[in-house]
Amino acid sequence: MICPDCGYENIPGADHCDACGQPLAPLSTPDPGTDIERRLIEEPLKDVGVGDPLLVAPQTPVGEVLQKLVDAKVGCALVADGDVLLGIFTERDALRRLNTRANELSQEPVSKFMTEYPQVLDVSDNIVYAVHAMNQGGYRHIPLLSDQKIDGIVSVRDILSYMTQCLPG
Amino acid sequence: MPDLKLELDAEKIGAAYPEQPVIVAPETTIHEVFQLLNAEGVGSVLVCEAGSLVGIFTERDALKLMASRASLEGPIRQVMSRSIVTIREDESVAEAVKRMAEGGYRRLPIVNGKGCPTGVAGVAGILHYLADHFPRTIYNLPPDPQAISREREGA
Repeated sequence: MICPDCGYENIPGADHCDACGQPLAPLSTPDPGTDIERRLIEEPLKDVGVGDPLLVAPQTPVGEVLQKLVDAKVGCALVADGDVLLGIFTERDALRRLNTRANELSQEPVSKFMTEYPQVLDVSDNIVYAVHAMNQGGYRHIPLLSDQKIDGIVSVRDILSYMTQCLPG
Repeated sequence: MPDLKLELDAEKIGAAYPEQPVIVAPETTIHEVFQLLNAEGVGSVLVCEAGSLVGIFTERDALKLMASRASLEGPIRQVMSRSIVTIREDESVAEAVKRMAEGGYRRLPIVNGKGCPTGVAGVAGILHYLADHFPRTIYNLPPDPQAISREREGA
């Protein structure tokens, strides 16, 4: 493995660079056992065919956002200021935070009900990270960024259909 | 490494972490069902009459009602969906995946031989099941994909 700092070629599995002492542990992604594992580890999220996210401004009335989710046939909206992500508002948030009070709260801004600082990944990150985050965090959608700007969204269903397409037969 | 395709075909849907079914009667009010979805932390309720499944109401249906500002006073039977795609207990994970992909469903009620619901299979459970098959790959990841430091720490 090549040290990202000094370029020295270390033996595989080294914890630190022999030349400069730089920690190398984060470079040690696990060995893929099967073809599908190899693809999950090596292919970036942009290869999953990530969707265009539904974007809404933070001051949008939440009732309007509900209608947009229905019209766009999607389960979540990204709350954004331009292309900077502020939060995420999902079907689950609607049920948890509005529930039977959706009518009386419909004029309130969506920013009051969104989840701030959602888990994000970069479009260049490998698919396996999304599987891991969804599995551990129970997330159904992960916003994708490139250069810190919104560049897509990936859902459990996208990942599942990618994984099952990878299966032989 | 066992063949994943074979396992998906052989393994019964019960292995893919189904949710416990939350069952209500057709006369339950929509209002109560909304609260139940929240309290139970599930994405759907199954509507049953005399032990058999007659409808399903999901959080997607709830979203549509919220968006249209519909009244929540009526019984759930008025708004539940009656065309239910189910999976039998003895069917495989692969079959569930196929049925979900074809219909664009995120969950399928699991029914026994008598048509009685015993669980709800969902995409999250299936993802969890798949992740279990790649423990070395999924669980041994470095925590942050961007965490390769470029500078040596300390002095």
